[in-house]
Amino acid sequence: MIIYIYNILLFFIMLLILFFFIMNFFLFLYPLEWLFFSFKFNFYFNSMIFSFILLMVTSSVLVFSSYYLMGELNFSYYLMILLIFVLSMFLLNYSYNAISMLISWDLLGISSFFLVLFYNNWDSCSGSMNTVLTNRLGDFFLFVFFSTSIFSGMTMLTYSFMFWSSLIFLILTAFTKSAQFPFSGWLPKAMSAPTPVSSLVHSSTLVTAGLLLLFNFNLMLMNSFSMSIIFFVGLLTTLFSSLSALIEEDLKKVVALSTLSQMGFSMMTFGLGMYFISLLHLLSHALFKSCLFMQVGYLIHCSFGQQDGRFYSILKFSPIFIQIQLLVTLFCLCGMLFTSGLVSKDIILEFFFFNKNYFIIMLMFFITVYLTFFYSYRLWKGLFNNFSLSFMHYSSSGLINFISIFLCLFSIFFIWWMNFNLIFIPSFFIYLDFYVPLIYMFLFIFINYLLLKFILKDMVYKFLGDYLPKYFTNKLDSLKFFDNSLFNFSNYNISYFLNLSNIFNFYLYSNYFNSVVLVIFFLFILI
Amino acid sequence: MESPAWMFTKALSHRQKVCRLYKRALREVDAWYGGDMLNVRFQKVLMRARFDAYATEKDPRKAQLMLADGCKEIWEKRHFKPFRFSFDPLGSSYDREREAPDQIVDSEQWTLAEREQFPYWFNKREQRKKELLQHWTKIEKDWDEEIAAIQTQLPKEKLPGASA
Repeated sequence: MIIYIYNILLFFIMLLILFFFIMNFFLFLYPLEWLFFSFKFNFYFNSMIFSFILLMVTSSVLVFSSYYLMGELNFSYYLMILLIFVLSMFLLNYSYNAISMLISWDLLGISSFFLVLFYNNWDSCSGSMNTVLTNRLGDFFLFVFFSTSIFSGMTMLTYSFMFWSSLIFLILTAFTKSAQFPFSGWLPKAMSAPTPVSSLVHSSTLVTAGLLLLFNFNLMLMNSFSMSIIFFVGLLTTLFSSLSALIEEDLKKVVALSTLSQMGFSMMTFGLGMYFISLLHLLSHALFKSCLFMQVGYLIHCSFGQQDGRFYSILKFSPIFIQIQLLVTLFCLCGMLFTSGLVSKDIILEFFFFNKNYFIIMLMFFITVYLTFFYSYRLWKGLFNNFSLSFMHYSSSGLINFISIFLCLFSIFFIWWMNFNLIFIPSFFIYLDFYVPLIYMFLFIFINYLLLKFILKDMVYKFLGDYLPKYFTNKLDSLKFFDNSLFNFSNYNISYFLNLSNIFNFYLYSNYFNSVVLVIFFLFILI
Repeated sequence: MESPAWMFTKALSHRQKVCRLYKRALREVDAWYGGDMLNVRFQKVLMRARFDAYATEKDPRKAQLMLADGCKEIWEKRHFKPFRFSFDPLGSSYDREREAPDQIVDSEQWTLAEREQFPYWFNKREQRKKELLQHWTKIEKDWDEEIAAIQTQLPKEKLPGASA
């Protein structure tokens, strides 16, 4: 039975690859064209690439879900909803009309609701309500947008109705679906879905639907107002989600927040005007993010559903296969050399600095790019920070060890090849802007931190043990958390001065967010 | 009484309270320092040292006050997302599989032909239903006796210096 499915999938993949190499190919297919009641499709290069990647991801996710949900009584129910979801995603991909977009958009939201609701426990119910209500809000915005265009042709190529008030609804609907800044609450909460759902839905399809909508309307959105909104919100999203990923303890939520970060990155790229490169970044991200979800899901399944990353290292969880694959996937995420992420990320970074921006925007961008490294390292370290290597470990299936090899290799080599051939830029001018030396400044600070950490070990006790408590006990009633990290026997000491934020407790009654307040305060001073 | 707080109230000795606090403290250490096993173990040793420093305290009032301080400290230093095992309440895979109620077996969907494939199970089920009906009055009487056995009168206070 599964062989038939693979046969059909291979056929479609071959068909798509054929159309790959013809960049001028487009096919407008209008099954119905009755002015308002039309149903149109467009088969062209962007859609072909995306559906190719979608097919790869879907087939991997099908195999993975047969492993993850083995023994599940409602497996056919799950498959049905998953196939409805995949169908609606393909419909959205190829749709060229308001009604077909609306139908597929709504179907996406509803099927993702039922997918998150698969386990009927409290977490699933609350997460799915979050998801569906936010998505429904996006549906409302989309409907309003299409209603404002009711007196023109309902196609994607008209300029006759461009008031910014209709565009703002389009932008808002893309923000809700792609979980950008004000609407990003639902994505971490939707991690109470089973992991195959997360690897398909929340890595490559649902959150990219908003961006696909923007790609289709890119002619309308090429004005400074919309672009600046999209750019700034994308930047904020990627910064805040990267920051949250540093603190989050749940493995799947960390991966979800990294997804969000990359989505914000793509949105930002779109806000710079580079919609095709944004699509390429989306594609490479889709591959290795679903790959990452599957690897993390494998580890979660082997530990019987434990998603909290705090106790993974004691379980001797270092099968060398999955460790290396996870490392490679995380390298792709960070945009390391010779992986797929490099090609899109490098170009985006370069084009970002072609513009003159405020210092704070440059700073936020830099911090975000570095933070991807930090949370990737944190994810990897938390899982494999034990000092013994085992060859194999408990697993209900040995095959799944190797499932992500295919996606990893594919994402590295294919995307590299494809992007290299697609981005026909004859020469790169390395444009040394004013802010480029910031890279070296950060490197300088990091290396100095490492050196000073060892040089000033004795100062830790002298300053923090003798001087500081004497000074502050004359002023305050308590220093609640400063003694937590006095004797920190680990290799990631960073909180020597973060604990001092509670000296502001006199005015601000909080122990958790004062450092952020401090940073924002200093940023405002600088500006 | 409407509130079931009486079910969870018990007179605990000081030793029991201290041990419960110690376990909670270790769990908080797990939550805050989790991920790096070396550091976790180190911090747990420090916590144990803090408890052991005053383990031989003789004054009961001072011990009580220190226990109260410890409870306050643990309340203030609790983690925003404490570690839970996945099958425990508030864990990630809690309440995923639930048993269906037995009554679905008694519905008309289970036809006679299907029931005859499992004669032992269904006959035992009928037998147990009959026994339960007979036993029900006894169960209710036991519950009434248990509730009546709960103390409603406070013991008489013995003033210091009063003779027994």
